[in-house]
Amino acid sequence: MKHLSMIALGLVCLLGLTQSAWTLQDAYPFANDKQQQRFYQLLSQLRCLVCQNQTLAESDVPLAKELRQQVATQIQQGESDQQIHQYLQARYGEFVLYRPRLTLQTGLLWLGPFGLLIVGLIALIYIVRQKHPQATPPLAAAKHAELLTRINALQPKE
Amino acid sequence: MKLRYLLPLLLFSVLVLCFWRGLQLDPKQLPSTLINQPVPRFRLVDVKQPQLYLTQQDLQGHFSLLNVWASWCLSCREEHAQLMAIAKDKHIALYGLNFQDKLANARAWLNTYGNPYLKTGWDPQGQVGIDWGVYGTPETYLIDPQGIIRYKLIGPLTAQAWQQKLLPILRQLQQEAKTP
Repeated sequence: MKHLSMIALGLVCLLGLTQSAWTLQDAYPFANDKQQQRFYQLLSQLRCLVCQNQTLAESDVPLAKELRQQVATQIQQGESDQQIHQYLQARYGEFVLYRPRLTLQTGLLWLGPFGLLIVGLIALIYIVRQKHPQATPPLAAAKHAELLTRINALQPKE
Repeated sequence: MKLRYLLPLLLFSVLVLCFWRGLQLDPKQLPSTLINQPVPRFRLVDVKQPQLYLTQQDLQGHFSLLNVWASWCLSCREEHAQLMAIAKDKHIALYGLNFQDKLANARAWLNTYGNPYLKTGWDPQGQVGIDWGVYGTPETYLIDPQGIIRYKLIGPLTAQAWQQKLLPILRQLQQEAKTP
């Protein structure tokens, strides 16, 4: 029964995905598949400025619809991906790119997590080493014999 | 107190500062890319007088405000009283951009609440709005006599916004215009 409900849940999620794909396909007839692919790809790279955690592919607000229309028209007119990005950036700024470019300003955003990870690892190694200091080297044979003699001397005679 | 023991507290304090600053930033306030750029070229039918057009030419030769609004936008009613006051006092030329709206609704809205605009361009698809970098209503642009966009106000043009944001900038620009 558990497996069945998991499968059902999975199917319901898939249904949600197909719904949005349908809507896009209906509204924008393209000359060929390659254009359509480019369209979907571009949309997933651009941010909806109203619902800012959604891409243009996902958002349903009127602005997103109009921007999708713009992108579709530009693809049909033969504009390149770069040109479409530039068109939107000129109007809305860097924020319209859903995946920020790697520049000096966004360097901290991109590399920060890795930096923190390295710092964390160093701290972890440091702490572990403190608790478990390296094992002392084994005694030389002569010293070992001397130690045994001393230990025996301390033991009470039976 | 050894530095070692203070280190977690220090790191935590730095994080708290970052989050504090982050929470103060409003992601809805996108900086406009059009500041200090010339106004985009456009030609829109006027909402009330269909034989007239609103174009970038109307925004030349004097200081002007372009207010982006729509009949479905609730916040736009908040700023309406202030817009009427600006129009009446003739501080500055006020034009409207009716964004993604039905013509009948836009006309009805102006008839019901009053028309503060010298002209209002009808932009049903929002194509011209996109050229201006509009992403929500209401937004207002301040344009200087050379047709350069100097300031963008995001949100309703309330009395406070007018007094504290737009008016000082307008005065400053007018002052700069006088001294060569």
